[in-house]
Amino acid sequence: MNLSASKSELKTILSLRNLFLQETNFQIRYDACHERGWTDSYLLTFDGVEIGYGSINGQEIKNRDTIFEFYIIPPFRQFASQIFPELIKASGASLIECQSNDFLLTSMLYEFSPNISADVVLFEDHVATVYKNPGVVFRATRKDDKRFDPEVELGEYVLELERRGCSNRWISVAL
Amino acid sequence: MHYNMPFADLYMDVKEACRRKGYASYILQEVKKACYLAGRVPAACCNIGTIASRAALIKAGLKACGFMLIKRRYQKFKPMNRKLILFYILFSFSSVFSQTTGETVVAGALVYNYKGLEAGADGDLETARTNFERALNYMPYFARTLVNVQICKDVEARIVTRRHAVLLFSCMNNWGSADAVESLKLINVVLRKNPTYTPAYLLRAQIYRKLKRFEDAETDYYKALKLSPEFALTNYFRGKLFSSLQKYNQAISDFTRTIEKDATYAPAFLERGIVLTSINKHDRAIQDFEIALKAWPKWAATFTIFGAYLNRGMQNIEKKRYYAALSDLNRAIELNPKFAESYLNRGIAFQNLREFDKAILDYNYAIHLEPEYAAAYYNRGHLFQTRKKSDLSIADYLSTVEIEPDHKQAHYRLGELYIKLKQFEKCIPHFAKVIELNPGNYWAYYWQALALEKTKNYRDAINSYIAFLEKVPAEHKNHKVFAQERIKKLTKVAAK
Repeated sequence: MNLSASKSELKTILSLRNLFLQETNFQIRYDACHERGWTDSYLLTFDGVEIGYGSINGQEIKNRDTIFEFYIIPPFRQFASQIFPELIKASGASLIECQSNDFLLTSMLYEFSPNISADVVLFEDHVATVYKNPGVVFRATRKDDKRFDPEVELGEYVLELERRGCSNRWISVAL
Repeated sequence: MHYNMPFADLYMDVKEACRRKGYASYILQEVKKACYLAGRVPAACCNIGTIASRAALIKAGLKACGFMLIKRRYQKFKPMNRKLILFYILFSFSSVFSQTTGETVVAGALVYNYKGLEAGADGDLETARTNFERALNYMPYFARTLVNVQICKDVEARIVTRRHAVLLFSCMNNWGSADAVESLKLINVVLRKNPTYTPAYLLRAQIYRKLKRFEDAETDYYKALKLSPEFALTNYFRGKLFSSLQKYNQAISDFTRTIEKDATYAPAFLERGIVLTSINKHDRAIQDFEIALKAWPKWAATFTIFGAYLNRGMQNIEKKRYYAALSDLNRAIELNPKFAESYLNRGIAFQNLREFDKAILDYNYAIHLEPEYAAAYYNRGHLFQTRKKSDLSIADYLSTVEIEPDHKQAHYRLGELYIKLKQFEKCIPHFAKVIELNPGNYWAYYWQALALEKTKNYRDAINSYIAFLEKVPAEHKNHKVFAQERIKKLTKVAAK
């Protein structure tokens, strides 16, 4: 049994990554990192057969110190604990960052990292609400809309307050 | 758009002056509708500490589905750092050092407290009270919520009017994020009409604290105490003010008064313990912490409490009271079994009690918890050295200097071991590093000279002996004589 992890191109792992996205079926917080070129991809093989992939990004954009995606196709998942150290060795990563709803990488995190913390909560859609707010208008952003905070980009939608005394457009939403 | 298809990453920001009015959840609701129309699935994330965003997302019909987990970068325990400890007070402790359960409890209490304030500010006092009670289900000692519940009760008992209670809740609902001066105006309106209403003084004092008008805050607490001398929370709040101003004796006195008035109010014990730790009275602090823990065991893993045991354990090691140190360190480990420094110190205590196997187990576990813990490698290396296991010892010292390249003692020990093993070439760079880091270390010059002599670097050896002679105190007479003889001999050899 020869398990190995080798650096490869993003396009090589894309078919496996599609399987990962299909299986997980939730939002992937660092999805955009791949297309922005902020990641390194590693192909995982079992006796030369491609069985999964791992992706590495960095706590700083230029670094590659964090394993943030790890996928093994189901028939080979029993070897996850054996192949994960190969990925660590090949990539030289010193950190693991994962979403707690991604069970495979989370189990690796529990197995390989003694000190774990959480600083971000993930949310999914749950119920539709019917709040009414007659004093405001929700609309698409217009070209002449000004930012209320120079450090915050306007999104695709704004909420405009119609009441006197607070006429600024004051909310931005990005989709 | 950051997420994978079909998920849409919701992001919103609300102008500061317009916050806490329900607009955030409203815009999230509307943008969710836009997502549905575009065939997207709404999703979001927010920092664990941003309670307002979390509340807005939940109110807008999203639910928490997970956390971003990461291996935590190790934070060194700083022994007896009083200022630091103050930051870990009950209701503001950082998520980094708290257990997930503790974090959830405090976050839950805060969310329901805010929901209650929001409902109260909208005039719905029944919903407000329900939410405050939910907050107390999470955390029965939540002082701010206890005051809010008191206000609701006072409305029912007609001690304060409904309109004024709504004003108080509006003011509290605002002052967290918006203009504290505006809140102050609102609360002054209430106090003009109800000059004997104690909770209003407590709330105004909180606003003064935010505005850094500490003397005014103190005056308000004094007035509140005069009006309701038996209301325990007034002393508690004032104690916290004194504690933050580092007026430790006054803080202790106030927490003691709180306890005298209501011995079941556990946070007073916790806070008094924190203050006592700040003035180095670990014994009394630990007594208080033990009482607080009985009432609310979730505080166990907070840094302050197990830190007190760790501190006292370390003090006991310094005073060579190793059995006492073991008792403290055992308790620190019991309270928080995942803190590497506790194991390291217990290992040191075991080593001094010549229980070497136990010491090695503790050092191993400290390294397992924190693989880059230089002090644990160094101490284990030292233990191996005393047990004459040179190869293991060298490996540990090398790990130490790999993690901490400026670790003087590890470099010195490595040099010593290589000399003993007659590997003179290897020891030279380590003594050179010791000299670079601590030019006053005359023994490093002495051993370096010896190694240089053995490797036939006579000129450098002479220089090192000279440096040794310049720095060595007079009491090391034999070594001085030896160095002088070597200089003479080597000068002749070098001349040839």
